[in-house]
Amino acid sequence: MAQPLTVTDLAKELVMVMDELNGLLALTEETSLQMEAELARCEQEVARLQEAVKDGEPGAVEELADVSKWAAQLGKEYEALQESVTGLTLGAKGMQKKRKEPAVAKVVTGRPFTFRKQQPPQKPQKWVTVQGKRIPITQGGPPQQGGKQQAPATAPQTQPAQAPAQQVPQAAPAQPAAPPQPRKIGVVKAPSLEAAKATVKKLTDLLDPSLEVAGEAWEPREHTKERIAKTLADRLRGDKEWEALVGVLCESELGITYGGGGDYQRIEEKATGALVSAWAHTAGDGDALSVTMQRAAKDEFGLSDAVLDHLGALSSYSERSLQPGFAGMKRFLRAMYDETQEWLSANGLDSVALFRGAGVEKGFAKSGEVAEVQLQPMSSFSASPEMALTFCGMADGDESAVLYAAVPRERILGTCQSGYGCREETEMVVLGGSTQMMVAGLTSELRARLPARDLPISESWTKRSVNEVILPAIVEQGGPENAQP
Amino acid sequence: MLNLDADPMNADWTKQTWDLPYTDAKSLREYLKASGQTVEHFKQLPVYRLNVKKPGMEWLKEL
Repeated sequence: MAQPLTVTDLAKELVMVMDELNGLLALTEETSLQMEAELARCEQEVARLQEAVKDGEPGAVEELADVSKWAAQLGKEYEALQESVTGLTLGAKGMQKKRKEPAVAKVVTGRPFTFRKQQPPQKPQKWVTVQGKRIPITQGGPPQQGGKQQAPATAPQTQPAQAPAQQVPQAAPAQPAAPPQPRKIGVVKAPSLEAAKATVKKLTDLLDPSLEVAGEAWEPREHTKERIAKTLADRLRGDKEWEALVGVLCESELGITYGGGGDYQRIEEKATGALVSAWAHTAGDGDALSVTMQRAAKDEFGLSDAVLDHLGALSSYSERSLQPGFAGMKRFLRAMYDETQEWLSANGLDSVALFRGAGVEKGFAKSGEVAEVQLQPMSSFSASPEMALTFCGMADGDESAVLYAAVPRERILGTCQSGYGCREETEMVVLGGSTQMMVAGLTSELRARLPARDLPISESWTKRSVNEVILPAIVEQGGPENAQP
Repeated sequence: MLNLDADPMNADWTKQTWDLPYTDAKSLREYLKASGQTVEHFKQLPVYRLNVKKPGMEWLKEL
């Protein structure tokens, strides 16, 4: 016997229909713009042919008749399309009114659903006259991609369908407030050495808590990875773009197989786990999946000044096989971003002091200087200056440096507790671009100040370097009134 | 302006710790094959270079 439809079933169906309606509206908007452009071309062509007729050009009369006929037909189709847009918009508004309980949609989809506000019809400002008939042509540029509000270039863009769970779904206001300007990554110094040490310890303890610190809440590394995979899969459940990516990943056999009858939730968790593992493999470096994820991050978060050129081109086979999952990658990254923001918020972290080790060219900068650097869309950092210094001993190049930056939380995509990142490295993944970082210590200068024969093996040398050189470099000499990193 | 991530070693500097779920050469080889990557290419990556000489990671040399 068939199961009766529940309120949840109906809400799920309503969400699906609204998604389809949104798609239709986007399509009609695009078609409408194409027709307007074609009508404008017709107008120019008619004007040219009218002149040609006056000049007695052979064949001009016939050609003018053909173009006029085509333009008239186009004009009719354009008007019909406008009526369809009006009908669809009214239908969508009606459906949204019927969706009285936003919480139902939230339960079903695992995320709040916000109906995309359509642009109000523009008043025609220009008319084309074809065969005595006036056809309106609206002015202005094309609608923003996907109909969504375009955030500033450096701001993580927000997609209504992927808004954080705590936001209450509601129609967009008529005059939406401008999104807050994102804070930049920069060099904010600690008020004192003790404050710097405390800040570093707090963050490293949160990212990779020892048994002593975490007590009963301590979890093995594998459990952390499983928890992250499950949490992200839960966030993405029901998202069609995500499901398309799961399909792509199953085809690529990245440790995920799906015969159709298995536990799909488990498959999704394996997929999120595989994507997190892909970061542990490489952040780019010619790997098709990683490079495509970097592109997805740049696109999703509007990172116009993040660099990608060094990642190179992919084979056409890789491009083709991963393209169907591109939108799903953006959803995955957005889910990770939302999860990370909640984790940062829950731990009272508004801005974090992060470090990185890097091989650099000689003469790149001096210790204590602020350097302008470029980062790829997703870039690795660590909360641990020791970890950065340890890498310096292994980096390629003649010189290596420990770099420091204060990173506002909205620039953090993932942490080893909420997405990408290695726990032992106390890793955080930052949304990149052009930014400033302080050279907290060059290894050549550290060697001169703290002679060591065994860099980077000696733990005591590393500790001494961090405590005596690197952390003091990030302390403001001016006094305690400065903000903590 | 320095592109900090242009050098693969710099971009993957946090791969000093083995964080992949594979702990033997056979399963890692299978993963690489499935992801369309050669063992030779993997051996050029920082995640290999930074870990292959570490105590407890001897199995990586069997790759």
